[in-house]
Amino acid sequence: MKLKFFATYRTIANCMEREISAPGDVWSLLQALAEEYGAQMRAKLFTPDGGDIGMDAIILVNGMNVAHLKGKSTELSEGDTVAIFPMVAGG
Amino acid sequence: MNAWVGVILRVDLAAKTIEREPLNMKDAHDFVGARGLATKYFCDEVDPNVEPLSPQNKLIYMTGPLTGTGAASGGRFEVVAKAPLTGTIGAANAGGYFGPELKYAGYDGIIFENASDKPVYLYINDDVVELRDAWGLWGKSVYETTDLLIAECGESFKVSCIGPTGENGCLFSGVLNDKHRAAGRGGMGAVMGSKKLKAVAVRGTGSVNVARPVEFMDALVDARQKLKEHPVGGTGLAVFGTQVLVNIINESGALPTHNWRDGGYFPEADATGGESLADNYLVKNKGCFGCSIDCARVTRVPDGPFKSEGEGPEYEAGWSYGANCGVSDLAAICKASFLCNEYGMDPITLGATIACAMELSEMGAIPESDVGFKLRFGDPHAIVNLTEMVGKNEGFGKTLALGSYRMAEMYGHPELSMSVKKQEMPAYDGRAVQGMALEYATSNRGGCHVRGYMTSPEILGVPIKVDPLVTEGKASLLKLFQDLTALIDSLGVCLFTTFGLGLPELAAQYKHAVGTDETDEEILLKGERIWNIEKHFNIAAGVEKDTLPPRLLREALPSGPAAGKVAELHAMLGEYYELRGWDADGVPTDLKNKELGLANEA
Amino acid sequence: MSKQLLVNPKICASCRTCELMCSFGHTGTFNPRLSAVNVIYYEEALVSVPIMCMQCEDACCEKVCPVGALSRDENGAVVINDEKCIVCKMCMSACPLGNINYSPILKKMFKCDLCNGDPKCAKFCSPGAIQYVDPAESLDRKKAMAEKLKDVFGEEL
Repeated sequence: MKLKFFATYRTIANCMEREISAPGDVWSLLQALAEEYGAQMRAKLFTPDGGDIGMDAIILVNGMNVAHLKGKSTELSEGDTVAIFPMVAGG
Repeated sequence: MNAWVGVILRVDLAAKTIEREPLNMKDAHDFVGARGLATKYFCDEVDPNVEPLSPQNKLIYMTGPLTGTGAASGGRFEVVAKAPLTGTIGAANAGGYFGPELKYAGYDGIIFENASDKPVYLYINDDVVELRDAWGLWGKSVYETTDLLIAECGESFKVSCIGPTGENGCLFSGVLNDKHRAAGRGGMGAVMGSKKLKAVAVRGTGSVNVARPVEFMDALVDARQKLKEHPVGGTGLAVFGTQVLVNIINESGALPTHNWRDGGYFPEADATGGESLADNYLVKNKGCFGCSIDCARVTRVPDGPFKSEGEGPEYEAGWSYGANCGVSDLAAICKASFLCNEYGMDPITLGATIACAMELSEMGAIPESDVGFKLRFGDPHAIVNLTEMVGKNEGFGKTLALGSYRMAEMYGHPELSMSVKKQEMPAYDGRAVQGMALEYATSNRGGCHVRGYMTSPEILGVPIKVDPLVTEGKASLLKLFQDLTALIDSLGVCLFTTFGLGLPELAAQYKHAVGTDETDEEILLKGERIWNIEKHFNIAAGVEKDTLPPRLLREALPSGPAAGKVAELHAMLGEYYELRGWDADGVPTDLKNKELGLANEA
Repeated sequence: MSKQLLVNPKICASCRTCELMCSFGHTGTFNPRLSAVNVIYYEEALVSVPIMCMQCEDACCEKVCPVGALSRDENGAVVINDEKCIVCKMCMSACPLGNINYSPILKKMFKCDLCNGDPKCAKFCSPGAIQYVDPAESLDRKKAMAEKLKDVFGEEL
């Protein structure tokens, strides 16, 4: 599956996008990313208690916010695209 | 006088008279300030059926009660007139330094009446207010006009002016201040130009007081702290600017491409996004007066065919010239956007009008001979050259200067103008963000995103996460957003404060500034009152009903998360009217008018 | 060692919040012209410089005052005693940095007094372009320079 980083996540990961093999669900993906990229990534991806997706992380699976899918338990499979954004705005 | 200075300038441009009159404090109380108060003055004094570019239209500058105070991001003001692009009430808001300076000079607002016979500008140096000859400024760009006026008047003057497009009656020309800040939409610049008023130059040395200094200080410390701590208001906007939205809207399948013809995903979007802007062209951040968000960017394209420098581009301009025209060259987008500031026009409408012309040209509806070259989607030189032509009022630029609706109508395809009430919709596809569809359809100034920014809950998850693809619950949320936005615009603070602040923080600053003990609900009701008075004006002016371009209602999105979806306006509009206390045709009921104290307006 | 205001023009966003807060802190009204700090924007150079009294150790204003109205307080700020001041404006002429101001509205002299050790300009500066730091403790700039040297020489190791 395809993994895309944007804004500050792109800066932290120093990567725009890459192919990975699909972990079971969004939660395992985020854990793996925190493991790989360290404390700064962990702090942004998770709530302070580590129990949920943090306020400053917008996770889209195939363009849909996981908040409107199955949250952190949203399943992932090969062929999916996951896009990770911080909270951004504009207009 | 608390939060206000208490004086309005009334300038008759035909008679060349300048009067000072006391601010109508009852209206200031009921309609808050800036957008609301100027609209109230306007509706009381002007026939809704006035021809927008006739001398009988008026042009009002108005600050808000928080303008020039230390309130979080409290540097804004409003320009109000009947809008030539839409025929609706026109109200355009701008930041920068001009608004506070006007207040420090001792004026809450300026009402311009009638038209001058020759170009003039208004000189305000505290108590000295004069109409001065502007022959030497006529035809000059926004940048040149500002520099010339500062050289003539003094370096501490702040300038609000029009560019040549305002003089030439371009229907989407804006009023720009401090060179790069724009009261951009609806053609306020053309109204100013029709009055032969080139600029207002102001210097003020006075003070703005607040009713309860100690409590006000506490309220602003609280507000500024919350804004600072919010991921968006604190650091998000400062690092990547508004252009950072390109990627998230694109990944959500909601970035309209090729005049909204080809769905909501632009494969080359990333090259035009805020990340790319920061990497390649960003020089430094800037902030408007009294603002801690610092979203403005000073940018420079150092070399190549699009070598240029200026401020921006902001997200909407980045989209209108980018994905909407199929252009992925960020340097060209920057240059086109800078040219809009220089010539004084709205890049959302112009970019969207060029996109519409591209589609019509590809269809063969616009002959190549009319444009002067083969116009196709994706051509970076075309967006820059056509912008230049509109700026100089040359060739096909004269047609583009009418906006997409009038242009598309001329060529027999008004349905391909992606506009609402003749004003072009901005950068969020209502088929993929259903609340935005309702927002565009019901906006009191035509297609617009800053009248109730539903993208915030639907895509960004602020302040709550709402599914963009459903219609349930959108009407009530939109009503709240529209009322709150009317309040914020009228207070004189920036709409971006909503990324960190809610009604309680905004209301606290207002209460302690003016010295009122109204409840938050009573204060929010003023926002609703403002929304309704605008609606009354539009009804009386005979503005067309609330709907969307047929493309959004009939052509489903081909791919992405919203594949197969159209804008389900019918599922939301009835509920929206009901929640507003309006009848099935969208007319406020007597009961609602009475509740809002607007019985005389109906 | 008392703390000192330090400015970093590179990150100043010219929002002028410092001016608002300075005037409000001292006069209870919002008026940039009653502010002891001013932001000067250089459009061509793309730089804005916040400028205020540097509280000179060898303060000309203090020396020139004919009535001894200027003195140093416990925070190291040179402050004006309005009771003694005759508003002769000699200090204004004497200041080599132009950081003593006269207000035609208040009909008095004013300058930065470090807000009794809690300067509002620094407190409200969002990008951190004005900082209130102990110069003896502040290693920020040295560290920044050291960082550069590390980058240059570090790669050779």
